[in-house]
Amino acid sequence: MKTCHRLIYGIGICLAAALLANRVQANGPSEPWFQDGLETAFTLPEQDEIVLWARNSEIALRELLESVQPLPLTRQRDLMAAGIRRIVQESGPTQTELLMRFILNRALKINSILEPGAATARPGTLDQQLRVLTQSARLAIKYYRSDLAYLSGVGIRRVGEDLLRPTAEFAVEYAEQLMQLDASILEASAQYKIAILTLQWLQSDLYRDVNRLAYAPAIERIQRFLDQTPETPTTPDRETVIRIREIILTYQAAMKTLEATVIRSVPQTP
Amino acid sequence: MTEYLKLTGLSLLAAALGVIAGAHSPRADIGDVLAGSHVGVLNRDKEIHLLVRTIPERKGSFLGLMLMKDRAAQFYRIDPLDSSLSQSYAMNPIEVGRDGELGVLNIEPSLVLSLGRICPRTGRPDFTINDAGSRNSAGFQGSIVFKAGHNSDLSWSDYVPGEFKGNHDRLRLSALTDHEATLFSEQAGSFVIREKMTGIYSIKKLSVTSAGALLETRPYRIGAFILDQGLFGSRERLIWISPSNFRDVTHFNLKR
Repeated sequence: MKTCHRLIYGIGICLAAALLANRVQANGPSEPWFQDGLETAFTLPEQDEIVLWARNSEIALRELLESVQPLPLTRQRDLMAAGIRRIVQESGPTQTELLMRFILNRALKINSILEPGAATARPGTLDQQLRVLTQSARLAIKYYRSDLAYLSGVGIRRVGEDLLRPTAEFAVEYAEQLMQLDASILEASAQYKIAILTLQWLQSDLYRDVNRLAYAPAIERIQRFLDQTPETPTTPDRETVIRIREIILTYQAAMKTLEATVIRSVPQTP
Repeated sequence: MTEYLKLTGLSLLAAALGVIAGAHSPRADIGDVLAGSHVGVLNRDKEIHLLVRTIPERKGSFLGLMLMKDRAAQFYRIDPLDSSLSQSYAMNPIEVGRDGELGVLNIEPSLVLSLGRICPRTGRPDFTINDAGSRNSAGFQGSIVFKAGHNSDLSWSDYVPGEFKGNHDRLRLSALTDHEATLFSEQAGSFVIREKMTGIYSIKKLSVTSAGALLETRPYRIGAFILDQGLFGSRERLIWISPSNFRDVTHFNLKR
């Protein structure tokens, strides 16, 4: 009798997982933020060009980080933003699906959200801009190796014939980093926008992973929330602040489901 | 005569309603009454000050500095708990993160502020602060009662350059430019003081290495300027709080 119960319970779980998996496969994350680059099939000359771009970008980022250090913060921010913009532009028209490129592209987006409209910036704004640009450059350097391995077909690790990239690990680390930044922002509208972007990118990055079905509960949870939440705040600050709390709770719930499934093999960025 | 009595009765009723409405209507823009300096009682016997500033870019929310003179101090972000006008606020400690930046590290509030009646005479509110009952126990814990009209003799002021004197050290602060200034301590050397949030400053040590002068990532102290209005005049103070222990507080008085 006990065995029978276990069997029924097991079948139930399998059916639920299959249903969820089908939904995730069918829908995928919605389009608007899925613009990081999706190209994964390249000709050999294209591949050579992308590898060259990745190598040059890694060197350029290291030099950029080093060269801005002694400068005043405003100058550091401006040079970092210009340097990252140049690197992204040099990646050419190919919308390559490289983690390095995602990180740099997204840094520019966050930087623009934080950009002060008024002539006199509020305290902390410059610090947060510089923080996102610098941390993104460091993270891009870190994931450069996995990108290069992926491009040259070596792979980080293999399961059967699948070439695996640490996309889910990246998703979790990147979301944690952005949420830490978000916790320092007082401006309600900017904090809201960055929190929503974090959820969107977390979902997209998890979906890109070859093991996406394992992350279906987190992807689904985020999707359900995003379906009912506007990308930019439409309410007075008082209500926006309450919505921000809901976004963070959804993020935390999603991260909790990922704790057991996302295995970290890449060392954390300090 | 009857008409006159009726009119007088109506006027009295209208006046009474006006007082009641007056007592409640400020709830729509409660920031007018919560912002400022309050003094209350922690756990029935300890005097505690709460200095509150509005956040222009986050209307309806506040920054708070709660302090027991010379003993403990903690910064808070004070956000409304719900969208109604029930006037309960979540108080989240502002702490230093792994990367040395200030922020709310734990979404769970450590304290909850509940507004009571607003005194029609002073326009100031009664309010209480209690443990949120969450897993966040950073900063002050306990029950704090603030009575309307009990104003603190401290106020949260803006940056003040000049020479400051503490019990064991002297500081020299340059003028603030773009939210940043230099700070020289006779005992501990050179620092950079930077305004991270309105009225909240990180104080980072300047180290000299082979690569040149570099700022340490983790702040040495978090600071704020307060104006202490005593019996014999007012005095500007700089308070230093350790980023790892809110009970490690140092006061410096501005030298005149």
